[in-house]
Amino acid sequence: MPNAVTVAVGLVVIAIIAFAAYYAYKSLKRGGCSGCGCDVCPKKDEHGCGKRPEDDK
Amino acid sequence: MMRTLKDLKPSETCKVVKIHGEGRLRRRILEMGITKGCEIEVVKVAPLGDPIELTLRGYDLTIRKADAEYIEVE
Amino acid sequence: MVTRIALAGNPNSGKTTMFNKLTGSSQRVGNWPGVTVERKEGKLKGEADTKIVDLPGIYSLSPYSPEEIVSRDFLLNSRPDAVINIVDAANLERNLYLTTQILEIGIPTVIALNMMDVVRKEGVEIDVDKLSKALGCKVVVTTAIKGEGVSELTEAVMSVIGTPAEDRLRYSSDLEKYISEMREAIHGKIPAEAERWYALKLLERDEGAGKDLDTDLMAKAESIVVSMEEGMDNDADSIIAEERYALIGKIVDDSVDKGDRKKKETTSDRIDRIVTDRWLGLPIFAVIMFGIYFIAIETIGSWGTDWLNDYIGETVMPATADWLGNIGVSDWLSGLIVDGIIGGVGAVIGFLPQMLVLFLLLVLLEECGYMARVAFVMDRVFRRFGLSGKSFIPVLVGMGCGVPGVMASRSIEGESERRITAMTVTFIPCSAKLPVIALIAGALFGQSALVAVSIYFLGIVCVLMSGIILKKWRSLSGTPSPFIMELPSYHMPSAVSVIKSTLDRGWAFVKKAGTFILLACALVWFLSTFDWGMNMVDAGESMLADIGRAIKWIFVPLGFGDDWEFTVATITGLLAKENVVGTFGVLFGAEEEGIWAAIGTMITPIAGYAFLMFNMICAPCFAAIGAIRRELGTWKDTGKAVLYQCTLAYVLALIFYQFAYVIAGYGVEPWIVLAVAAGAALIYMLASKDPFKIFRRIGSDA
Repeated sequence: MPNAVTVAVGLVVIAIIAFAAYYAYKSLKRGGCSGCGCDVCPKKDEHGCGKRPEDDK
Repeated sequence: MMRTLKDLKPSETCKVVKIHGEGRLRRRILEMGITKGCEIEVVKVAPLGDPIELTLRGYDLTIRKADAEYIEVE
Repeated sequence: MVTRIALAGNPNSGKTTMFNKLTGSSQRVGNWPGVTVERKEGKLKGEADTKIVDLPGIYSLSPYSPEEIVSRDFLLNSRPDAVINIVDAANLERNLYLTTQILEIGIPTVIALNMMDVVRKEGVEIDVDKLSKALGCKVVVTTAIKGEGVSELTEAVMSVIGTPAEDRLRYSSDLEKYISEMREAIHGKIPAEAERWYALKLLERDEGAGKDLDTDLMAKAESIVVSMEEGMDNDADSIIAEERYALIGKIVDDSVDKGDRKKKETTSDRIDRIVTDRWLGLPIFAVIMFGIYFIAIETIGSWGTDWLNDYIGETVMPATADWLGNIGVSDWLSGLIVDGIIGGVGAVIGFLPQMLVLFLLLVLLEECGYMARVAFVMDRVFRRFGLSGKSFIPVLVGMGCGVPGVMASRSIEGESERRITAMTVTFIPCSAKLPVIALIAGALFGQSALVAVSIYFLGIVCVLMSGIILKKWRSLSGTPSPFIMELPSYHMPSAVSVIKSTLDRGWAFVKKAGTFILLACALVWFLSTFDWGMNMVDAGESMLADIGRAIKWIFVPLGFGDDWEFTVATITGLLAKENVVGTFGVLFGAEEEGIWAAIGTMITPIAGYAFLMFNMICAPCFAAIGAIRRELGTWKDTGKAVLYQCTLAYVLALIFYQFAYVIAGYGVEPWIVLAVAAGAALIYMLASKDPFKIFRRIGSDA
């Protein structure tokens, strides 16, 4: 059985990974954008990917 | 023989007589302001001999020699 | 109800800058025609429920380029509540050509007469009232870059909503006669406000304007066009263009006082004379390219990267491991944090300084106006390979990131050149590939600069070679499109926007490292630490090793199929190329020199170089594949593009490795047969007129 410190640190790590996964999932859902810095993106301020407004429909 | 924009040397000036060709190329030439009576100066030729740089209506434009051949000038 | 205001204007008229001022956002600005390749939306600052839609820069409302189609469809079909037409005062005549067409659509319009500061400096005065009266709409003087006139513009556009521009433009009486005739014919068939626009477009035989009209009506329209051509003794499209420019000429003569008419040579002209000089043009281009490479990759950028890599490897990692040990965290968790997350992500983050320098240089190049000159200087070369001079702009942008590179291909007019460029831009090493190049150069070539240089050349060669090969693919062949491009004036980039743009891209890189790369590293750590029974084992017995071993045979002919690590790194690289480095960081649990040492003992330099070749040319990361799919339109074509990239990568790496193997005196591998066959196939592809015939005969739909 791992000790209390390990559990605490483990939870933090899980939280970080969960956040990364959530972000990656969101990004994949909007067309594989990894936030590569494509400033050409038409809706950068809203979701930072290169999806076209007409793709939203 | 018909004289075209392609035959001009750098720093020569000419007046457009007619646009030949068809479709998109012709339309693009017209839209950029190369219309009958317009004055064009050939500014220079690109380092590798093509395309050429023009000045017309107060701005600079580049066009390939093959496309410039459709512009009849005097 | 949301009010929508469209922002339309010529390329390079300062539209994106104005959009940023109007909305308070920070879109990228560039000084080459076609920076805004898609439409963008933003909220108008200071007005509730009002959206600004930034349309791509266009010269005309023709249905030819994708930019024109996007803008035209939006104005005609979505009918925004008002249009702000940005007009470059320094280039009034050509800018007003679009204005005449916008005014005819019958949407309330305000003209933003931009860059007046430049015009005044040249001693030219524009009578704004006269211009406004002649055009029949409000005209506001602005200097977008300084934010002057922006609030007046906002006020003006809000006040015109609901009151369409006055229909005041009149052409020669001859033409007006035919316009009336055409209007009569189409009356009731199309929206009344845009009747005059449709009438004129039908008169110039615009291909898109008649698509909703029935054949009887089209026949009637054609008969009017023919009678106009006979009556005015000219071709239809010439008549309309000439009439427009004649009208514009009259308006400009009335409202512009050109002052001292003699055109002075501006600073921009002087710069241009040198930069695109007949003899100096190419050397200057070469020096600029080498300068970017030298500053970002060899000197300043790499000093920063070396320091940061050392700091992470020698300070952060041991300190974290010690600290975790001291507070009593289990070894396996400490392993995940230090080797998995910090090792993997750190191996990538270390490259941030190099990337910031590279991004900065590219932003400077984009904003100053040199990009259009690159197209001018390089067109001859690129045309020979079935591409256009404009293809070099995406290639340059792609050095930063492949995604905007692929998207920048949209400004290329020719359909086939555009698609080929979109498919091949990612051959150029993007910033994410730099860590991979540095890894191989460091591990196997004593950090030789030649590795990076050769990979850039390889990228260019692949782009050009693909131009030749893909041009023969039936759906990509076509007559060369015209190359007619405006050469914008040079201008000094504004420091604020350069720094902001650089930091934006740098931040996106950090975000990617903190999410995608972190996730991938954690996964690689998990798969490489446990076996299928969830027991902690050495990496060699882990699940990841089994996966790698199952498919590593594919890479045996390329020389790096003996060790599963390289196969695994190649796969994780598809998510993001930095992952190749991140994966090694996790697997070897080490900082830079440790990874180098480990790789150095595993494969030979030639196998390492083949590994690098394959990873640089094969399918790019997911984001770039997504961008390619948006440009090509379908997943099927995208699949073909990715297949082509992977095949080319495999073939080149195979040929390189097998021949280098012989030359290096290691003996001869049986795979040499495959390499010779692949080489022959490649030469056939390049030389044959129709190399894809064989595929069609098999029944492919190519």
